[in-house]
Amino acid sequence: MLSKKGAHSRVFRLSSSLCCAALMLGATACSGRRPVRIAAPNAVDAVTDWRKAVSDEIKQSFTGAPTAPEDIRNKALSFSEALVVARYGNIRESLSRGRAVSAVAFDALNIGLTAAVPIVNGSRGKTILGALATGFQGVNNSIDKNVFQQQTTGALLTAMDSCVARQRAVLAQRRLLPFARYDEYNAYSDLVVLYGCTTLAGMVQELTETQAVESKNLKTVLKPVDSTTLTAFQELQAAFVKSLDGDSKAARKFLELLKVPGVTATSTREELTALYRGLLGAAAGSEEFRRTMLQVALDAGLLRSTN
Amino acid sequence: MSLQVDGKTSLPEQERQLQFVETFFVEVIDYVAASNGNNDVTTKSIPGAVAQPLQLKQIAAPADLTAIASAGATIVFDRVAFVLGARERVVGFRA
Repeated sequence: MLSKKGAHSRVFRLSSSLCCAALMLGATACSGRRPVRIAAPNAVDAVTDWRKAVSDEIKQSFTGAPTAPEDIRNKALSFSEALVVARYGNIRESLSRGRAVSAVAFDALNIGLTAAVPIVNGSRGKTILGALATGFQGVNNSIDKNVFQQQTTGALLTAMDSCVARQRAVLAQRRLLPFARYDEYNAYSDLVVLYGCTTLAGMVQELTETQAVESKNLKTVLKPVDSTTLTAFQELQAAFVKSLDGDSKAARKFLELLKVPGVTATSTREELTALYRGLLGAAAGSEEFRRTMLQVALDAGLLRSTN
Repeated sequence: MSLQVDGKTSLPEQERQLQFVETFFVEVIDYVAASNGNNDVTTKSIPGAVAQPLQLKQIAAPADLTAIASAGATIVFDRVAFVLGARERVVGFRA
């Protein structure tokens, strides 16, 4: 049985533990570290701005303001979607023209087009687009700009088109859901994704993901191999190994003549072997490349002509 | 990238193709019929040339497999693969 004093002491210890735990959750006093922000203040403001702007717009709707939550949400969706699609059309045109005339700077195009979209409803429309853009900013920063520079306009436009079409289909499906399952915040999230499709960052992301899937599914069917070719390649491999066993000069020259990237004077045996291995894909699918390899092997002194 | 061998070709032709692949410092470790009528080749990188060339043999019964193994060969795979367009039991081994 506990004494009264002991019980008091326990209660005190428990309450101080709880206090410390509470402080730790606040992530300030106990750990001395700064709290982790789940949503940055500007992102929270963006949602609020978006809600207010669409709400004001709905009130002035000429078909009469809806009253049911689902109808309000759908109206907000329609209006925001219309703004993004207006921007989408403008970007399509500008991208085609801009890319055709000169190289376009990644950031300049993004910012420039946000301002250049004809907004039917003045500042309110801009607020809505701005709120969606704020939601997408994090993704924007993580995109590799070099990837963008390597893409053709056609590839970028196709990526944007497929991304927009897919996301609009998602919105069309979800607007049928009851408000309890799909509220205005869910709608905002989906609209941010739709907006993202119309940014260069979104296009590049779409393209990168598509290319990754394609390269994963890529199958090279081997071209037929006759006995002469097989023997020649067995000899080539043996000669390559022999060169690596020696000074590696011929092996290195062979790869350099084939313009294989990554060959240096200090490349190790393993690196040179890996680079040779990398030629398999091209040799498997192209008889012409096989002939080139054998010719280059002669030029590099790996193989000797039998003529 | 993954490699496939045309499933409509003969077994000796397929064997040559696999031996060709192995001249690129890789070793074939699996070979199996794919859904598109070709055969999927699975390879493993190796530091040098393969010690013994890969050979293919079509078998009809487990007894044939035992015969190959008892002759001292190393069985690499025993799979169903397309040969001349038909699904056949194919064994890959190294003498």
